This record gives sequence, structure tokens and C-alpha cells, in this order.
Amino acid sequence: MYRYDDFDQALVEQRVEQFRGQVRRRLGGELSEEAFKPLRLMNGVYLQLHAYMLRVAIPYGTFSSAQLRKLAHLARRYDRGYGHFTTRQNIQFNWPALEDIPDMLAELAAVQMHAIQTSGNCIRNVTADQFAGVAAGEIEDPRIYAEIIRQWSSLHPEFSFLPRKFKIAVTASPHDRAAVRVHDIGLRARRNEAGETGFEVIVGGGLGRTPVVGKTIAEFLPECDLLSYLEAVLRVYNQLGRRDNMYKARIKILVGELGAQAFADLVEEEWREIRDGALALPEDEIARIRAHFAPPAYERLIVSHFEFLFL
Amino acid sequence: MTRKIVTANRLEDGLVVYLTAAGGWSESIAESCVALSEQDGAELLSLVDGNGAGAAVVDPYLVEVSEEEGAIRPLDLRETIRARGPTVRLDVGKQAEGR
Repeated sequence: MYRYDDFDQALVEQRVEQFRGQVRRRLGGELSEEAFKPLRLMNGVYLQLHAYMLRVAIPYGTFSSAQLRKLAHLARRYDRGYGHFTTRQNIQFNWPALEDIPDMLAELAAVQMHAIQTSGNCIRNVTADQFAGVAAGEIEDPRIYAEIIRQWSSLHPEFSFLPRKFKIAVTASPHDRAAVRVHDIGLRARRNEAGETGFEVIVGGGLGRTPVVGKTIAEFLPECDLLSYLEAVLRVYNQLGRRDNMYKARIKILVGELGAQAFADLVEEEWREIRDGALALPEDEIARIRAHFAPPAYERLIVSHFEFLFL
Repeated sequence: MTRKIVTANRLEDGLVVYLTAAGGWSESIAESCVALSEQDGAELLSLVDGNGAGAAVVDPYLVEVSEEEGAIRPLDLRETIRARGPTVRLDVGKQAEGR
């Protein structure tokens, strides 16, 4: 799994201290709710029916035993002894006190976890599927691309104020367990005839009040173009997505109103400008991320030991 | 007769609270101050400082209730759930604390 470098660690710790100051000012009577609300949302803190709710990111649903133990500890120490794993591979605590949340976040930072971009109008957790990395028939481990997208989307200055939340899912199996057709952007990894890896790009899918199956706007996007193309999609959405009505603000509404082809054309136009710029993904960068997902040294099992199962 | 109470979420822990006659906030709906008309309800709400920098609560608003045999009950299902606790975890929330 991906491990933070010094830069990542410093960023997360600074974010905690920044939020600690914001909470102190809120509880000390210096900040109104109106001023505080967007700040707490950027740190995954909701105020719900019964209490505050803290949503902690678990990138593409992968975590270590040390992280799981920390989550259990947080539930016992600061909450009511349980956590709620969500459909998009995060975890939620349903009863945190506001003054405890900075301490919870500091403890999370110590195990390389955070609650950044788990709420608000930004790009949320990039999800894969529960068998990512171990499923037979996978072209690649989809989490490699989920991690690349995570790094690109985290604290992206241009996409911190989207019309609405934005959810991306990645699958690399013929059998899609990541529900890519009902995400804002769904990515299906595939191979072309030359054996190169690329993506089918599906946009404008979603569930809820207005369920929509996403539309394919690119059949085979070469992997080196992944980030520049996603940037183009987000730019078109950021510019044209509705901001007057939160129930009409998701990209599925925009794609529905423009039509898939017109939307794809707008993306193409934007993409032409940025395709070969800083977001081009060189092979060695992909390889660097891939190295974080090398499988463990699996034990070599002898088939005959399982014969008893078939008697 | 219209009966209204004021509810909000407490700033420090997010818990559901109700305005009492003494002007404080109680976790128990039984201790809420009941206004006996629309006008009294509106006036009660206007006295509450919510969302401001120094306020103890967030988003105060009025809830319509019935008063039967001394028990104050919201008319609205959402408020009933809010007064009791989560329907998916009957072992947590006010419902589990005997309130």
C-alpha cells in the first residue's frame, strides 16, 4: 500500500493543527457557524440528525492492521465503541464531540490517515473494489490508478469549489465490482491490441433521486493521458455545472442536458490544450506508484492439500 | 391548539437539545418549554441566539408537538427519531439511556 513520504506527513499534520485552531476559535466564541461550516466540511465533519459525524478516508478501501487498530481505538476512546464502513470505502464515526475531533485527527495522522476531502464540493475518495489486487482476470491492480488519481485530486486548487461532490471509481476486472457505471467518472482499465493499458472513460453516472447509467466518452484512453483527460472533464464540469440548485448540480445532470457527444466534444476541446503538459503520466511515474502495490510474498500452496474439499 | 418547542444541536458535541423555560438547553424533550401559540413560538425562537459566534447551539428551529398525559411528543416522524436516537442502532442514543 502507499506510504506517506515526509511531504505527505507534514501536510496532514499541518492540516490538523490548522483545524485545531479553527475549532478552538469556534468553541471560544470567535467564529460563527456560517464561517466555520465550510471549514469543518473540508475536514470531513458533518453535523447530522443526532450528533456530529466524522468521515475518515480509507483510500480505495485499503488499510493496514495498525490503521484498523487505531480506528478501533478512536471508536472506544472518543465515540460509542463502533464505526460505520461506508459504500465508498470510508469509515464514519457517529458521535464525536467537536472539541475531540482535532485530537482524533492527530491520532489518525500518526498512522497516515486523514479526513480531508471526505465531504464538501470536491473530489472524494477514489474507490476500487473489494478484490482489487487479488482478483483473477484483473488487467492491473486498479488501486495503482486510484492512488495516482488520489494524489492529483488531493488539495487540487482548481477543484476545491466544484458545483457539488465528485466521485470517481476504478475497475480493472471484466466483472465490475466498483460500480463504475454509476459514478461521476468511472474508469475501466483495458488492454489494446498492442497490449498497452488504457481506460474506458464513463461519465455522468449516479444513483439517488435521479439514477443514471454513465455514458462512455472515451473507449480507450492511453494510461499516460489519464490525469490530463480527467482534468479536462473536471474543468468542463466546474465551468458549466449548475450552482443554482443543489439537486441539479451533479455532472450527471450536465451530461444529460448537453448530451454525451456534446459533453465529450467539450472535454476534447479542453483536453487538446493541456494534453501534453505537466499532467502527462510518464511510465516511470506509474511504475513508482505500482511498486507500492507489489503483492506480499504469497505462500506457495500445493494443490493436493485441498483434495479433501472435493470428496 | 398549536404547541411549539425550540430544538437545536449543541455546539460542543452536536447532540440534540431542547430549550427549557429557564433559557438553557436540555437533552430531554420532557424539559422543553412549550409555547402555546404560533406567535409565542416565533417569539421564543427569536430570543434564542443560534449560530452566532458565541452561541451554545447550532441551527435552532421550532418543532410542533402534542402534550398528552404530560408527555411532550413531536408530531413529525423526523423529530420523533431525533428525540429518541438512531433507528439503526437501538442500543445508542437517548433511547438507550432511558430518556
